[in-house]
Amino acid sequence: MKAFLALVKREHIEHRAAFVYAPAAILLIFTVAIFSAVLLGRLRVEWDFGMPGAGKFFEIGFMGMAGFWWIYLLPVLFFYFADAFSADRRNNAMLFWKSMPQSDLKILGTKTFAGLVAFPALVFLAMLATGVVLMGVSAAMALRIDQMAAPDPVGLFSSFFQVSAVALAFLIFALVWYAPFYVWVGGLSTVFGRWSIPLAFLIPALLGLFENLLFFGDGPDGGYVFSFLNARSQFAVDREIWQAQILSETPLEASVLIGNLISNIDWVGMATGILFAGIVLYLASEYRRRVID
Amino acid sequence: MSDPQPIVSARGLRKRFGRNEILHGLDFDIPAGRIYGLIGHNGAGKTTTLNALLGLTSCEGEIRVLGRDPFAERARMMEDVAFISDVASLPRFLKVSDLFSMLTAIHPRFSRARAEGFLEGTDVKAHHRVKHLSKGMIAQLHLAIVMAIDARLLVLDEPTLGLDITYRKRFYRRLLEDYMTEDRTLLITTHQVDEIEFMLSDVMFIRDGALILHTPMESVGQRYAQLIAEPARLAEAEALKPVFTETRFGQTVLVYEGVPAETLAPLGQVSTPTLSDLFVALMQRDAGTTEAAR
Repeated sequence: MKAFLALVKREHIEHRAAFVYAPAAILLIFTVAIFSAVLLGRLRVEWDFGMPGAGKFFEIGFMGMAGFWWIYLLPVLFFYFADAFSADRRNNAMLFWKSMPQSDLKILGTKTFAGLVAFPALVFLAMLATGVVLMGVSAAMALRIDQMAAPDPVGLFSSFFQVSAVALAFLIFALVWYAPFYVWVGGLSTVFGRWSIPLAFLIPALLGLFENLLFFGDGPDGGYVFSFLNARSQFAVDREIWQAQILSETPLEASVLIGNLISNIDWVGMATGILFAGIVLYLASEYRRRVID
Repeated sequence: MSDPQPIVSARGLRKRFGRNEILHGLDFDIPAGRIYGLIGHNGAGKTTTLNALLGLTSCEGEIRVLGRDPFAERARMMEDVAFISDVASLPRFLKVSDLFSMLTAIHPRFSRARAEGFLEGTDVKAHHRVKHLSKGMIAQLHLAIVMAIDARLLVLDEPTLGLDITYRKRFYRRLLEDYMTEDRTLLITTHQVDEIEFMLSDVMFIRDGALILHTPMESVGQRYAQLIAEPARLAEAEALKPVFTETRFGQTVLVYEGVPAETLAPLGQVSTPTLSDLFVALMQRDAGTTEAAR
């Protein structure tokens, strides 16, 4: 376990620009920008159904920023996996790692753990920090806008935990759902280095085109490959329920949204994806075990 | 006490890349407590042999290192084996202190205190990032790391490539003074044969994927002799079938195998060939007259 954590730590050192420095810089810029907007009166709140209270303003803002951090995380993780699985080749460093009493499977396992657990956890912390900033913003807004109901501190903290719980649940389940995509590009990176980025899309596209050439007219629109990938790329939630929860005048209930999330998950698809990721990870480690260049 | 079992044992070791066979069935044992030099031209199969020995590539035949199959059990085996394949191979993004912390966690036989001790008095400091170190400093750091690993076998593949003569001499001196014990075995490949000759206990010459010499250094003088022939006796000297002849600064130098020094003495000046002279002689000898060692 000590070795595993040390190897995760070295991933952190190597890639902290994307998962520590950049989020910290974004958070700083966001904080300065939004507080200056509030203090200078440049932030206007318009609402279709009347002025929200500071609590609801906070919830909506926090959910929006949680969405922002998720959108940030998705491509950054993609590039992380495209880089990390071949990064040990740089400057002949592979020979150093091979001189250590650690298996290739363990090393790739630590990279996968870092990508799917440690780094998302860091971005989640940035999201929580954004929530803290937004609590201050909400309070400041209530002071500046007469029509906005003042925040109830207990309610505000409750909203903070409710939104955080929803974001955490979404993060965990969505990352498990998308893990096969990330491990796929990581596996390609083990073999092809940075060319894994176009190949991650090109290979399925060629498979889809090939399938259409063979079975043109049969099967679903676009073919089985495209249909499968399209379905696999969706991590759908029941949008109406989520919108209703977020936009209702009552505080958001995490249990409703998390329950909806869990009930909408294709668990067979999730398990199949985990199995696929495991197989790709193993094959990548075997390739790395055999090829040192 | 030295281990009576060989540290490395290879039987019929073969390696092919496509149709091209790189190693042609090597057989050798490396006992404990020895310092071996594996010497050959570029492309002779040195690195492939080391890669097979370190579990970095699969091979036909059998190879055991410390009783283990290197390819199947590399991670376990590397607890007792250290190697430097290239001085520039340390991860460049780490600071020296981070590197030591990581090694403490991932290598059960690494001693941070020993590594820091080896670096005392050098310009390598804990807060330095590897990528900011000079090539010589990286070599010092890498050597400090492998010497701080309590390994039974240390493999050095061209460890001083690209370093200046000062660093090279310091590198080998520290290795001998601070690391070698009778329980440790060292295997070195290098092109700078003359620089390691003084420290070798055994030598293996490899040519075109086959071992053409595998012998203790003390027997080199018994098996081989070098003669600078007197011009008037050159015909007699050539009649004794030297394995190699060349002209240096107007003098004819001949290398013999199995010809007693007393036989050669009347023909000119006799000496034991240096390792580099022997290397040149045996590498240029016709393949048909070479012999597998031992």
